[in-house]
Amino acid sequence: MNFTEEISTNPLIMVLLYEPSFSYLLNFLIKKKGVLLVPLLPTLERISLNPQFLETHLTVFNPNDNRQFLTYNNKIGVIVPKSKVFLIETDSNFRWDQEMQLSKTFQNKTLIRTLNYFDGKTKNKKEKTNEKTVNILKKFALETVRGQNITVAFISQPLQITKIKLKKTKNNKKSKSKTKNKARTSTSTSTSTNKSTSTSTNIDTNTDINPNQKRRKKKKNVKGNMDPGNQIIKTMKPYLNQPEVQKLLEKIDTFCFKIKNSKRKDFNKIIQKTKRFIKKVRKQLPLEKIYIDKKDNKVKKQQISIFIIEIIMSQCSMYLVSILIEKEKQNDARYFNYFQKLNWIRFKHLGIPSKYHQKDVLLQAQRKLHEINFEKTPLQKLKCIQGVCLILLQLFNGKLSNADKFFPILIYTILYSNTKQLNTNLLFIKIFTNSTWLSTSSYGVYFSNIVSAFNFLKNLKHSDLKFVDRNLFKKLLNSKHQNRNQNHNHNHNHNHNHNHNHEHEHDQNQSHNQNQNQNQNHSHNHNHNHGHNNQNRKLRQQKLLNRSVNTLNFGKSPISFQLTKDNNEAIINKNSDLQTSQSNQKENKSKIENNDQNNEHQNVNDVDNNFQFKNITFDKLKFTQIPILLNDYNNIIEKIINLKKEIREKKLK
Amino acid sequence: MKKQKVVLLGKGRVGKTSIFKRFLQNEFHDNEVTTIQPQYLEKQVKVNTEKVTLSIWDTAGQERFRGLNPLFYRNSKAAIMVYDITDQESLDSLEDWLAELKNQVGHKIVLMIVGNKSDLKKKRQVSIEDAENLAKKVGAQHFCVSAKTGENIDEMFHELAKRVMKFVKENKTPLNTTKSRRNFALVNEDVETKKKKKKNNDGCC
Repeated sequence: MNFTEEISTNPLIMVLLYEPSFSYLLNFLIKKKGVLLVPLLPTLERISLNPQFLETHLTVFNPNDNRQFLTYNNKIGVIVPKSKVFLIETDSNFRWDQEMQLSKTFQNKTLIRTLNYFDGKTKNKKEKTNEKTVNILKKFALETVRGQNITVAFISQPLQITKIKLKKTKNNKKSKSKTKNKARTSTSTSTSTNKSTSTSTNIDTNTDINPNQKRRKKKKNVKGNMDPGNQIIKTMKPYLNQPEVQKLLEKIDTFCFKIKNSKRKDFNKIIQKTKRFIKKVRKQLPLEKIYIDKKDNKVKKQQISIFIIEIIMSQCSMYLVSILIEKEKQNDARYFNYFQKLNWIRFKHLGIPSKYHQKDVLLQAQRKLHEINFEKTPLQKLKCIQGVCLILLQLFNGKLSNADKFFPILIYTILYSNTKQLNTNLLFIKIFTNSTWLSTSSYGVYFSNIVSAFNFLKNLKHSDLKFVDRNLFKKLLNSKHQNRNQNHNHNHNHNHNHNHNHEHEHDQNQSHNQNQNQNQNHSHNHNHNHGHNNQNRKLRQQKLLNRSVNTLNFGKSPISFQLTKDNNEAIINKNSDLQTSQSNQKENKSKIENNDQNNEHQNVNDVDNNFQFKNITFDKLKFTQIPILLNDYNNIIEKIINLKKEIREKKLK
Repeated sequence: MKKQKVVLLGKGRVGKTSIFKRFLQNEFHDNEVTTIQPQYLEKQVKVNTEKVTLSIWDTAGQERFRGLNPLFYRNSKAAIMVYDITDQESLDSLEDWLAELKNQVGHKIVLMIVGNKSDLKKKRQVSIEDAENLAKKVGAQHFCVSAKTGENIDEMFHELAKRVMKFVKENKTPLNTTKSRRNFALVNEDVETKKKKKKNNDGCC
C-alpha cells in the first residue's frame, strides 16, 4: 500500500492532515523508520453523525444543495434538519466536478482544534444517549513494539457507543492479572485509560451481550465511576441550552478572545483579571432562574466556578501556560538538572521494599506523568495526576496503601520520570483550582501527595535518604560523571528495551563506582561517543526528534498491542537481564553484550524495513501497515502547507 | 452541611490507617483490605437530625516525611492525633505534631487525641492520666480506641462530628478565604487555656 494513495482515500488520515502535530509524527516515523497503522477500509457508513463530527471529518458540501455533503470516502450524506441527525444515505462513486465549496454554516468552524472526542449516536430515537456518550476517538497513539525497535503510529477508527462496555477496575487483582496476560498472550489489543476517569475505566468491546443488558450495565458503571470533575460537567450540561447560560458562555468567549489578544504578558495581572471575571460572572448568573427544581440545588456556586474555569481554560490554557512557562523557565530548568543529578538514588535509599520493584508499573506511571504537559485544563491535569497515583496503587495488590509506603514510590516515579515543567503544571493547577473544593475531593489528596513528593525532592537532604551520610551525599551530588540515562527515560515512550536495561542498572549499580558507571554509560548510550562525527550527527537528530516528539500530543490514551515475535524476544531479554543480576562481574560484561545486541538489533531494523505485523485487530477492524518514505513525506508536507494556506485565505475572506 | 476535612496525624505504626479503615468500612482485617481511594475517604455521620460529611485524610507518619504534611493540613476543620498506648514515644511526639499543626493551619480547629490499640492492655506503657493531661492542655478530647476490636471508634467519630458541627456553626464566616484566615489567627495558649477552664473541655485549640 502506498501512503500517498492511502491519503487520498482514507478519511481518518485526511482529517489528521489538518493537525499540525501530524507532520511531526510523520517526520518522526521516517527518521525512526517507523510504521503507520491505519484501519483497513475505514468507512463512515452506518454512522449517524453529530455536527461536531461533521466539522472534523466531513467538509465538502454540495454548492447547489446545502443539505447534501460528500464524505472523504466519496459517500453522499444528507442532513435531516428536523431530527438534527446527519445521515449518510447512499454508497456511490459520485464526485462533484464543480468547484467545491464549504457550506456557509460550517465555514467558520475550524477543523480539529481540540482533541476531538466523537460522541457516538445511534439512529433509533430510544437509543439517543446524548448525555451518556462515551468519548473515544483517539487520533493517534505512538507505541514501540517490545524487542523490536520499530516505532508504530496507530490510528484508530471512531467507535460506536453500542459496541462499548465500560469495565470497572475496582479490583486491582483483576487488572493485575490482565497486565500479566498482556505480557504473555500474543496479538492482544487493549485500550488503557480514557478521558472519562483516567485509569479507572477500561474500555473493551463486546458484542455477545444484548444491547439492553449492556445499557443497564453501562448505567451502573458510569455511576460507579463518576468522579467529581465529570459530575460537575454532567450536571451542568442540561442547563447549557438556557438563554442565561448561553449569555454567560458568550461573555466567556469574548473574555477569552481579549485575553488571547492582550499585549501585556504580566502573568499576575492576567490571573487577577480572570479571577475577577469569574467572580463577576458568577454573581451575574441568575441562579434562581437556572435551577428551577429543588433537586438542582446540588449544582452549587463552587461547581459553577469550576465549570467556568474549565471553559475558559479549554480556550486560553495554552496561552496562559506558555506565559507561566516563560516565567518559571529558570526554575524548571533548575529542577530538571537537579533531578538528573539525583539519578544515583535507588529503591533502597528511599526505603522501598523489594516487592514493589515492579518496573512495568513504575514505567507506566512515569509515562502517565509526562502526559500532564499535554492536558489543557486544571481538571484534566488533576485527572492525570490521579491516573499516575492509581497506576502506582496497583503495586499494593488491592491492599490499603499506607501513606508511608506509597510516598517513596511516588517520589521515585517523579524523580525518574523527571517531567519537564512539572513545576509549572503544579503551579498552574494551584492557581486555577478552588482550594476548598480541592480539600474536600479525592483529587486533592493525589495533588497534595504529588506536590509534597516534589517538594521532598526539591529540598532533599542526606538525612531523608537511607544508607547515605552527609559526605557521600555531597560527593554523589557533585560528581561529574552523572548517569545520563535520563535521555532514555525521557524517550521511554519509544524505547522499552533501553528502559529495562536502564532500570537494572539502577538496581545493580549500588557500589557507586564512578568508573564503572562511566564504562557502562559509554557502552549503553551511544550518545557519548564523541570521537565519531556520524554518531554525533545521529545524536543531534535523535535529540531534535525527541524534542519534537515530546511536544506532540499523541492522544489521551495510547493503545497498546503486542506481537508474538516481540514478546518472545522481550522475555528473552528479561531473562538475560535476570541472569546478569547474579554476579557483579558477570553483570557488566553481559550488559555490554546486551547493549551491543540492542545496537545490532537496531541496525538490523534500520535495514529491514519489511517487518510484517500479524493479525492486528481492534474492535473488529483490521489494520494495515504503511511504511512511509521520504518522498511521501515531502508530498504530504506540501499538502499540509497548501491546506493551511487555504484555511488562512478563507479566514481572511 | 458541606464536607468537612479531617486530618489523621501521628507517628508511624500507631495505627492511623487502621482507625481510618475501621471507621469507614466498619471492618478490621489483620491484612488490610481493598479501598478505592487510599488516604482519602468520605463518610456521612448523623448527629441528632443533621448530617455531616467527614472527608478524612490519612497522612504519612514517618519522621522524614513530616515536613511534607503541611499541604495536607490546609483547610482542615479537625485533626485526630493518634498515639499508640504501648509506645510512650508516640505520645511524646504528639506535642511536636501539635506545634506544627498550629504553625501551618493558622486558625482554630477541633482536636482529638486518640490512644489506639486499647486491646493490648497488658502491654500498656502510656498512662491515661498523661494523655488526658495533654488533651486538657491543648483543649482536645481524649479517647481510647481499638481499631482491631472496633472499641470506641464510632463513638469517637460521632463526638468529632458533633464538635465539628458546633465549631462550624459558631464560626459561620468562611474559614478558607484569606480574609478569614487573618481573623482566625491562632489564639495564645494562655488565653486559650483560660477559656477552656471556663467552658470545660470545649474541644477547640
